[in-house]
Amino acid sequence: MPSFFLDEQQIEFSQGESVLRAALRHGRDIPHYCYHAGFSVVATCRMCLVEITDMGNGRPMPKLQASCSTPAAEGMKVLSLSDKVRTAQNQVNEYLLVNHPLDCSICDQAGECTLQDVAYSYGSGLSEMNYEKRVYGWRDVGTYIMLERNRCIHCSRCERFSREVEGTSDFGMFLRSHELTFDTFEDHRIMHKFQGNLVDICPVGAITEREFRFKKRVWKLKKTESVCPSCSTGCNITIDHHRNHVERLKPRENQAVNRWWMCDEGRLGYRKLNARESRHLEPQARVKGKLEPAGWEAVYEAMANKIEEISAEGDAVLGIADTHATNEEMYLLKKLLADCFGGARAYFPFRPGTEPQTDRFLYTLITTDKSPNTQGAQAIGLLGDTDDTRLNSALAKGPKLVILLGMPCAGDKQVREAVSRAELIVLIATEKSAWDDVADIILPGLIYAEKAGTFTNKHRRVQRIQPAIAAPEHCREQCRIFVELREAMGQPLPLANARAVFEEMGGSDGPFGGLTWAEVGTLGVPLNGEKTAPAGA
Amino acid sequence: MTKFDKKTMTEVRALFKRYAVKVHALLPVLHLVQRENGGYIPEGWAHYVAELCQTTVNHVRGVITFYNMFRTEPPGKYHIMVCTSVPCGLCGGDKVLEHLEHRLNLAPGQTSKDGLFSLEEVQCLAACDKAPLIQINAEVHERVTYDQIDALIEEAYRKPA
Ligand code: SF4
Ligand code: FES
Ligand code: FES
Repeated sequence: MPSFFLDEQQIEFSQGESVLRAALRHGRDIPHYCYHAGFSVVATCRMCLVEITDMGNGRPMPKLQASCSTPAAEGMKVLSLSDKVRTAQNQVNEYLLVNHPLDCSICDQAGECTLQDVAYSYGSGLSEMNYEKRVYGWRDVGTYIMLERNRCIHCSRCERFSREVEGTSDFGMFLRSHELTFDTFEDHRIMHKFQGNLVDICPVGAITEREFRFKKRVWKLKKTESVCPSCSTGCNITIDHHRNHVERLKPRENQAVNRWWMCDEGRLGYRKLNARESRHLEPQARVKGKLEPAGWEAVYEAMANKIEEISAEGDAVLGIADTHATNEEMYLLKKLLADCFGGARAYFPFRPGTEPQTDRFLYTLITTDKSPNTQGAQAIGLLGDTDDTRLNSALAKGPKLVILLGMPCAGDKQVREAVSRAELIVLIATEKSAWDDVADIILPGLIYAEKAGTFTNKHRRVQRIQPAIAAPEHCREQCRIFVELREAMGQPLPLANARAVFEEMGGSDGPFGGLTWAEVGTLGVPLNGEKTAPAGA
Repeated sequence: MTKFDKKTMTEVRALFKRYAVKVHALLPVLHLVQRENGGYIPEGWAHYVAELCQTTVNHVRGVITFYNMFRTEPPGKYHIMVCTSVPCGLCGGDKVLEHLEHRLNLAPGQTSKDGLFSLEEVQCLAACDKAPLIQINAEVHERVTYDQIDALIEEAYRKPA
């Protein structure tokens, strides 16, 4: 591979790559505003200036060059820390502060503002511009975002995102020089489902999220890497939380899945994570027709006794999982039925959904399957049909014991009625649903932000979720519930946590065979032997 | 009607032939729009031009607002442009502007109620050696004095039609 030198450090690049891009890939930072790997290069902010002392042919470039638009060349010698460069950086930043308000203390972006960071690390940290500033005001430009043009530094990222990535060209560049403004035209309102990305790419606090505005200083937030469960794409995200309260969800770059983006629907998924009223918060058992709260141990014991009493096996027992359950939970459900109930089987509603057929990658992110793990259920071997044929015929045999994982087919009255005829109905769920009226025992589980596990996305890529916030006191991880239940039944399965379950799945044949927890890592891997299509390919 | 007539369309097609891609003809096409609409570009035309030149509406609006010579409001019958760039400024361009503001009771960017005059502050008109200068519609008046300006205005009042 050809290489060049950046401040003495050797950096490899691929043909045609810019100095900045190659440097960033190697973990080197050259300050920049307008450059974003997701769309075209315009080289307007002039923040990424570098000194080129040797173009690779022994001759220097007389002037500083914008590293975002200068292709790297073999043997090139680039300085990004020299005095000349520092002075330039300092001055460029100073000019950006001519009109930018120094209101960091009341700005939502403070703490994750590129301008602020650069002002402190490359600039003087102060502005000497005590002239009158250009003043606009807040503009309500979209259903999801607000615009404060005073803070805009004219990088044009929003305009390029709107035109090249999203495609509606909502943002435009109007007027010029001192009056130049990035804005929507007059009272045009942005309506599309990807507005949150504008907030992410805006390097300053000009575009902010309505939902998050003025709620939390960002440096208080802890970020936990996870996966969005709001549809089968499984965009990589971070859960940003403070004191057990989730404040927002942000996309995390994964070129094989969502690149840099995610949709607003997914972002709004954060609301549910803090909800308590809609959740099951303690185990419950039906006593004389009424659900009563009960302790975990008592419930397990009662269940084990009842199971022994019914002593059902095979077709007389069945499990139904919904596709919000993790791979590990589905695996444990399947295993429980197979091991302890004479080969009983688990079913799931198979609703694979569709992905929009479009050239705009961004729009392929939102699928119609609003659950994260349909492919996982399929891969693990739960039985499912798009019209639930097999489930219905299994129910027609009149099972005595039904174990529900999540809220599968909760809206299907026929299924609910068929299940209700069983002698014991165990519901392992996080949320209240129509199943509550049917269940004999309710075991409260954890939502995805509270537990570890893996989901398999629409392209059969296995991706990991991690606990971000603490669960309500009396709720327990679904994997743990399966393990404890088996213990109560006298058929223990020594798997301590989701990771142990995954390693066991990886140790056996089948689609998960050969995969390890570590290998899944933070970016995921395709199912055994498969190649998932890289994003946009 | 927000649409070129047949004759203008022939001109547009001739313009398109001169450029590799249609969007490159955006500036001359906008000049045609302005010509056909009595000196300004009504908002509705941005959509039409965007379609014609195969670009986005906001790109067209961006170009219209970028260039001084495109106007989005109807100008007066006499559109007076006053240069205040450096050479003219040094020779009294600002005073010329001020004088006109008082005489016409208009601020730059405004059009008089009777639609006779509109005033605009502009950048260099490329005749700096003859500063200070003003341009009325297509006509440039060099090294203007207050008296000259007053005479021009009187003349305009005299033959408003
Ligand atoms: S609003 Fe933000 S993204 Fe858009 S040009 Fe201004 S600084 Fe850049
Ligand atoms: S990042 Fe290179 S000029 Fe803006
Ligand atoms: S400065 Fe007025 S014409 Fe050039």
